[in-house]
Amino acid sequence: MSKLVATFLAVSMAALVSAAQAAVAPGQAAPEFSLVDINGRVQKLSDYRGKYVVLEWFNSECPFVQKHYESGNMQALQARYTQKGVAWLGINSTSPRHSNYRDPARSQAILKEWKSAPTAFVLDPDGKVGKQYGARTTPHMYVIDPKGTLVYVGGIDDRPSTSQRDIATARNLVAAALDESLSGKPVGTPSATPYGCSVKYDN
Amino acid sequence: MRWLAICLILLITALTSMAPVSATPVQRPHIEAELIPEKSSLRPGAPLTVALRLKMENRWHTYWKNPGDSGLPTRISWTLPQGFSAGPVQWPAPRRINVGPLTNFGYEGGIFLLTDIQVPAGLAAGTAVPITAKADWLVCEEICIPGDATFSFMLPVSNEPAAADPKWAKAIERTRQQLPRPLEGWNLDAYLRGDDLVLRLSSGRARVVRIHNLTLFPDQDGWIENASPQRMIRTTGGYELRVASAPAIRSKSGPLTGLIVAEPGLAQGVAAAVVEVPVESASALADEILEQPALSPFADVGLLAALGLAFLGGVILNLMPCVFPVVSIKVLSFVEQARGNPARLRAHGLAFAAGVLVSFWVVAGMLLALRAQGEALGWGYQLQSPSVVAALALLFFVLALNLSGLFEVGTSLQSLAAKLRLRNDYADSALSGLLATLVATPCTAPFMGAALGFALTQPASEAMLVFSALALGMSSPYLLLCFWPALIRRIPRPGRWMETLKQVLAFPLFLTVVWLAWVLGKQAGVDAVARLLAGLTLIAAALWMIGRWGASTETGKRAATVVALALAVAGCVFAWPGNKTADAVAEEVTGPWKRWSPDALASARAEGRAVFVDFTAAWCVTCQVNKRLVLESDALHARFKERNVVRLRADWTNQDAQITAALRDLGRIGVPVYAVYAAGSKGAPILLPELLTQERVLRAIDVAAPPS
Repeated sequence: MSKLVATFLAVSMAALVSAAQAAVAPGQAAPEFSLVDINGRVQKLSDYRGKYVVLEWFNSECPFVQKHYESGNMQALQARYTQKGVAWLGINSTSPRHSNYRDPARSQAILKEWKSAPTAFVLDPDGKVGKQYGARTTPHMYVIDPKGTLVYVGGIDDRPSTSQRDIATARNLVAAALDESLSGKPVGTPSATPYGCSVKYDN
Repeated sequence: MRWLAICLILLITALTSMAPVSATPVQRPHIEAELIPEKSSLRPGAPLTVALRLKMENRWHTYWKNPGDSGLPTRISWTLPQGFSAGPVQWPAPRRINVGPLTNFGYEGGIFLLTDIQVPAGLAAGTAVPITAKADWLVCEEICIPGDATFSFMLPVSNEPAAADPKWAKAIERTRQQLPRPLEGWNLDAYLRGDDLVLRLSSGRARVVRIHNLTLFPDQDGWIENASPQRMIRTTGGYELRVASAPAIRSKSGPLTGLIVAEPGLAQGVAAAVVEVPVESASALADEILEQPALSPFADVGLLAALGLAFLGGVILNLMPCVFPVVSIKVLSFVEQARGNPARLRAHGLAFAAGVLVSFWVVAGMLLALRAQGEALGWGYQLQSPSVVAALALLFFVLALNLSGLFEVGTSLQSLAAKLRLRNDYADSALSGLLATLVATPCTAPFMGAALGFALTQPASEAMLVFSALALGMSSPYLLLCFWPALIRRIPRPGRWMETLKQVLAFPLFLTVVWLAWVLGKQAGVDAVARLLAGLTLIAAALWMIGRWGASTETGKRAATVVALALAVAGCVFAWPGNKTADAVAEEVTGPWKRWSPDALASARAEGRAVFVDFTAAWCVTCQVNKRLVLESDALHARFKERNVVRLRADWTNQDAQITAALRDLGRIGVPVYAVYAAGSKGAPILLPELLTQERVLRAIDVAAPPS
């Protein structure tokens, strides 16, 4: 029994430590993960080796996410780049114990309502992958090159706000990173401060 | 009538449409917001402060300019007439707000965000000026709700002094007083050590201000891992703050800007300070990293920890050689008391504890009073006075003679009423407590140094608390025995053995007298010792007379008492050494050990040599034990020589202002202190524990003077 408690403690400590110390940076290899998508299929990062991959941390209940979906901004980005062969993965790391948690069925309905069409949409209920990547806001964006190296980490654009009006004047940093990468140029702004709601991790 | 209805409708419509544009408080989900001009009118050319008051619901928060891991800072956009301009938001110091594994920087409860508006000088009095501002915020608990409000008001222009806002002016002024100020009285540098961003605060003052909960809030994201704990470490000249750095820190150019916040404050009335500091890479400071005083076991002591340490130190004091004899006396009296009823026993225990407590308070009170007068004194100072040493020697000598059975105290009182004797017993217990304290002072036991150092740099109330904890720790074993007499029953029944034990216990007391005589010799020379010994002999004669004839016939008793008194007074007068101290150096600074002085230390370090400083005193038992068993050992002698370490000895047997100041710089107020300065460095020394081991010193030498 005490052994069990000790193991539990050790595991939760490790989780805490990893949460505190994680965070990946541009130039580093993107950590591999394996998560189940809302259609029940297993999605691995390595399945997309050879393609550019976008990771988008998502929480439908967050005003910052709503800003980019209700304006159609995020859907437009998804459409534009998936057509160019980029794999776009939405990730929701919300804990099932949090009121913002949406199970696979509800997630499907939300994506449908918003006409969002990512390549896949995965759930990360224990927050392991989110913490591994140091994802702290929704949205928090990551761009990975075909070799599996991170080329962009940060906010979706350079205008932190919840106002849709700011989208027009903001510089979309994900689009910039993808455009530069796809045309063989180095990414001018490889990292930026993410903005948004906190990821609703399990404590 | 109809006309009136139309009017009313129009009026209501007008009011409703104006509602969002107002200067009265607006209610939004989980937050109340209001824009408040500090003054009711504008003066041409005089700036006006306008406050955005945000009142969050319980557990909800808004954000600082760097919101941390998530969130958005509150924003104010101004619409002002021609010639007016709004300054930046004056952010109060934020708090760390943890949200699961993430951390935000923001505000809970209520805040005032102040903005100064520049008012043009050419404004005509009698006119009115519209001021409009739109505030946007994000208010979060577990979830976040963005909100905004537009405020507008007209302010009249007047050359008269304007009236302050009756309701909020005080709160606005308080906010202004608490705004972060430039850092003063501290030197700050910052560098990267491994993955840690390290801030070093070194005090420009002789006494380092005590602070807790030092926290860094960078102005921008990307410097630190917001959620990782910020660890403050007490260093010899100040503090060090270690924070896990963010990966992006390597790509930062320019200095780190932000706030540092500490409790109770970084200076009088300054809780938060604005800092701007270049972050150096670790390699530039590689040699200084070596000497981080991480080896000090009492690096950072908070009040609670200090109280705990003081208590523990008090318990340990009972085992110190200079206290143990008194303990022996007390153990004997406990055995005697155990025959009485438990209530009496408890009362004795409490009386003893009270005696200890009061005497610690007296010592602390004196120390604090002297400190207030700026006297360069420290713990153990009682024994820096030869007369105190001589008086103690007399006292112990009398006690030892009593234990030996030369004379009995109280035999003549046996005829007195039981009640009176009882009261005397309690007074006796209290006196034992006082005595125990007096003799404990030279034994700066392990754990005690830091607690005392802490106490003496704290406000008087906290210092008294620490001394109280020390006193309670010291009396705790007795209290335990008195309250659980079952423990005493394990002590053998009284009998002849007690008399034997009592007489045996006299010998440690005689040894204490020898030690005190030796200390006196170190301080005041051999003449003083001779006088002391002669005085002791006179007193022994006096006591012998009392023992021999004190219980005999009435006339014999009276004569004996008179002669004995005369002898005792003569003995005391004879033994009195005055406060003249010997010119001779009390501690040997011969052979490889050189006398410490600030210059000697500076020149040795200027040569790039490692230095070992032994802060010691003849009356310090711990110092002597360390010196004999460790510092003078052959193994250490060889190692010191091999590594070319300069050995300096600072002798504090007599008062020495320079040494007292040096001890204080090291954050200590008593001896022993062992400071090891690394070769070729300019930084603070490594401080070794008060109880040395050979192994520990060898390790320190390896760090300070690595084998070449």
